[in-house]
Amino acid sequence: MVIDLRRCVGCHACQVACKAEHEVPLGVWRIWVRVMQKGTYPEMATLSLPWDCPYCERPEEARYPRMQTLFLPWLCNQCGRPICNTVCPVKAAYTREDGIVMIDPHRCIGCNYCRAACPYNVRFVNPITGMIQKCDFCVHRVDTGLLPACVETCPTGAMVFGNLKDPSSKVAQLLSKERVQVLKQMMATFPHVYYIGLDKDVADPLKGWEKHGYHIEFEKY
Amino acid sequence: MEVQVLYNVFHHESVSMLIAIYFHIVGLHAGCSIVSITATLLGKSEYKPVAKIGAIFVIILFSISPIFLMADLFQPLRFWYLFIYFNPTSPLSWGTFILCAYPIFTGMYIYFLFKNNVKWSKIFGVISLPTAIGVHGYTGFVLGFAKARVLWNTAVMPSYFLASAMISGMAFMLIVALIRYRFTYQDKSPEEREKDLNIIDLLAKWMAGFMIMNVFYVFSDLTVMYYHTEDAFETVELVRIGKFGFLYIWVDNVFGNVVPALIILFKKTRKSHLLLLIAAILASIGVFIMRYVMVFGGQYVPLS
Repeated sequence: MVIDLRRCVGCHACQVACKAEHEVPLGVWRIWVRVMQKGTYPEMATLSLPWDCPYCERPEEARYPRMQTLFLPWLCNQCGRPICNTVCPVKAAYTREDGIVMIDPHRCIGCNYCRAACPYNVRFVNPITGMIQKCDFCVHRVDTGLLPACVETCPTGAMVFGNLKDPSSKVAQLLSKERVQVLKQMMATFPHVYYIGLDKDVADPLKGWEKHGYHIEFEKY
Repeated sequence: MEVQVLYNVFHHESVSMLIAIYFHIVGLHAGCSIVSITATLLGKSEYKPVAKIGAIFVIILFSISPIFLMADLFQPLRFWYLFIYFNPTSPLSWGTFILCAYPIFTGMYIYFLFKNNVKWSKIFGVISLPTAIGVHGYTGFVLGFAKARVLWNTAVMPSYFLASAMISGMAFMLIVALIRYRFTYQDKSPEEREKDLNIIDLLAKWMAGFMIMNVFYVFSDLTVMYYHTEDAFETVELVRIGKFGFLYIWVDNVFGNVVPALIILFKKTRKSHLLLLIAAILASIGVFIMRYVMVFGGQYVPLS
């Protein structure tokens, strides 16, 4: 899958479509859109909510050239070397021939080790059935020739799904002509979800997290 | 540059308190059995009470430890899948088979130990020593192989876990030995009292040795993490001065390792049984806090 973040408008439609398609319970998500504001507007760090709006007094400082909102759809990266497959004690996590990483619901014992080892935090426990679940690119749709629900519903066409090995597919063409990035490359998981126009701040889970003071001197720059 | 996260999703933490308790209990009985087997293999008759104290607690503690593992599973009735589907790259699979081999060999060892059959208890001691090390060593690998969390994914983790297991096992045995001495010394002859005191002294000295080793592991782990990635910075700050700083540095390392080690290293304080008891209790609390901080501190830094 290739996600063109230049086209993403942050409408969360993929999130809602996924909930509807898979009947994902409350509190857990197979895909979500991480939203982050960044800019040089000094009071921005004190805002708790986007509509908590002190910049109405000085609107010229809170506009586009000084700040922007970044979106990042975050889903299972369908790694080429998935750590969840490596550490699963019963081989319930496996990779299909087309590269989609799956969980066998009849074999999973719910030991949570894959969740602890996943660097992307995409696995969750279904609170109703007690099964470990994650995004599987909607295999039931893909097998019948349809697109995944999130790709189908994306209004701007930011998400592109296809066969990477087929040179005529749109995914392969985008990958060959655009500059793509993956999330957490240093984890050596070789993800198969590629992002065009990924920003380093929105890709960093520690940005915006409550820190312990060590980095403050570096963050000024 | 100011940044602010407006929307994000965190899934709840994956390794629960049950696993922290399990790590502590499995460390306790692995430590007890390693001490017991070592005492038998050294073959001196005065170590025999140590071996027997250890052996009894191995039985008691081992019988409760798998309950925590089973209770942690989301599908507890499927636990037997672990035996039929073996994945050689998963430390949980190794642990399943070590956990099965360990009670068999250690049970034989304990049987021959109480039968006073020195030869066979030594033979089964040699066989069960690797399983006793493995039964706690594998938990270190379980955390070490979870590559998402920098606090766990270090090469020092298995040996660090083993060292702290030895401390907790020895502290537990020391407490029992002190209580036993306190309630039985009036009925004993001076030579027997001398033997008991020697055992207490020996246990305390070995515990102090493992404490110094543990402090060295903590020091090397934390300092190496300061020279590592951004996640590692945040994690090490978290366990040094952050939310877990008080628990990890003060309760675990200063009052759980350094203070008891000092109490034991000075000859005057080592002779006081009250101080020794306090040292052993502090060490037990410190090791439990270490498991807690490892499990929850490791998961505190967000991944998404």
